[in-house]
Amino acid sequence: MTEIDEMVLRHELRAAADDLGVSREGIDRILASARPPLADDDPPRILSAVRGRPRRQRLLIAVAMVAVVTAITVPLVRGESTPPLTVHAAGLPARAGKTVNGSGYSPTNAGLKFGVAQPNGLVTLSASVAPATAAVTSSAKIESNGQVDLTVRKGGIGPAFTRLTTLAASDGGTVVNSQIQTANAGHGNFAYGTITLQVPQPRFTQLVSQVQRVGRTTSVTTSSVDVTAQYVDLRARITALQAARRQYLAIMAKASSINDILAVQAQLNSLQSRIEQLQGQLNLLDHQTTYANLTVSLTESGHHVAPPKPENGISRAFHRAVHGFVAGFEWLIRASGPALFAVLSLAVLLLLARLAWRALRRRAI
Amino acid sequence: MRTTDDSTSDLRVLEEWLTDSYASSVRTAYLILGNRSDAEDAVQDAYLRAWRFRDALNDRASMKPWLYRVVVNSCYSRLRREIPHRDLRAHHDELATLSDRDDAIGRVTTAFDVHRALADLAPHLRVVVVLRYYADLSERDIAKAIGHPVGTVKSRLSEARRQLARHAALRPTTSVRTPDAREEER
Repeated sequence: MTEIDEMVLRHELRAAADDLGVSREGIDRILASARPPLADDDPPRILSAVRGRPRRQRLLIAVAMVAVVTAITVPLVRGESTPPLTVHAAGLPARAGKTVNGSGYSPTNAGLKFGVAQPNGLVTLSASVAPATAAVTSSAKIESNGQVDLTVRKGGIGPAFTRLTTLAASDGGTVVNSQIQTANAGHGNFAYGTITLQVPQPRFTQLVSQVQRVGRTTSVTTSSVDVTAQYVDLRARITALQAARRQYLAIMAKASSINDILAVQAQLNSLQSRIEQLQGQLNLLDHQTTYANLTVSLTESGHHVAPPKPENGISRAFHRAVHGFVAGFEWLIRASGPALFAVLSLAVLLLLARLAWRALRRRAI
Repeated sequence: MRTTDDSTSDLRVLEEWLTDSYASSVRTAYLILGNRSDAEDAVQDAYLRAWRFRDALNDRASMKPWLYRVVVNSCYSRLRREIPHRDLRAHHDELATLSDRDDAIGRVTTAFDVHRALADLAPHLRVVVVLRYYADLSERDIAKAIGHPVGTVKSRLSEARRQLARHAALRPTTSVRTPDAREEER
């Protein structure tokens, strides 16, 4: 590509500019402008200290950026490493409870439910804890349910049923349903059955402990769910609808034409239907929180459910490897959020710092 | 706190700067801005600013590029804020102020052509060309003056020379007229 000759260019520029007459007036004007007192015009000491030293300025900007990014990202990263347990442990009242069988934990709407595996491989105890139960008040609505698995001696199913019925009655409750069956397991007949007991909710815990004495307990599962919020909400809706119904009734009393009466009647019918629907839900909830159900499964001894086959070493190692891989991947995804945020923040700060640096540099001179 | 004596002394420093460099600064700004009054205003702003922040100059040896840097920044500032709203090609008043010497018509024509070519260069190219080939700053000093690496200065100079070689206003000059030829013509 052809370039203009440097000598020619130099000559042309001088030819174009050197003849421009420059008078002394400009110098005098500048000197006159520079004469006013200077004390107020001096830049602030801190600013001038920074302006005169680019390295210091850059260092200050870098330190500030690192501090800001650290302040933003560290809490985020820490937040990511916090187990979600703490969040769920303070959960709100739940709509429905779920039971958990087996080892480990599972956060649910009702809080945390734990299951503990016994050394023999059988699940022998499961218990659930509703967070709201810690703050139960006299008006709290708690829905409790449970399941107890018992093993009784051969031929002991009938007496056990009788004893369970007596326990329920003594606690002010009743038997909701019961069922006994006989099966052939190859080594003789055996009986098994299920009985569901219903007792007032405050007696539930006592009933669970009493039932466990009837036979050999192999599993206990209980759940308690605080449905106070749902209960209060239903009541509030019903109250509001009832108020609306009263207003429509007042309108109805003043209505003179057939059309008005029919229109108001249609609204009243709709309101009444809705009120009854909600009232039904409230009654059900009321009943569920007034009474607790405990289902007891009974099996005669000598009949066992085959325990799960223990894993061999290779299988266990494989499962651990898969679990570790998945856990690592989950961690990577979790960490990518704060990391991306940190990178973006740093980029924005660098951009701002660059702009500020340029602006300061221009202003400084 | 500055005393009156200090201020007087500083004013003498400013006067020395102005005596040494004011004319060349105005002409440099004139080539960059293409306009005498803008050039004088830009240089006035630049010197007052430079003098106000004279403490920022640590190395007296860097005085020349530093002053040019202030002038260039002042020119850039005017190019950004004020001059884009005016017609850069309106050099007629300036051309009329050129001294009337021998070959006045030729010189006026040359000045007009150079200004046209410079006006068509992007400001960042125009500045390096003027600093290098009019103000005679080294590439290193230009780098200090514009706050960019020497490599950037070189590439800008090269690009500017290429563009000027293609420019219609200077093409006859580059192909036919050389300094020697012009001397001979005179």
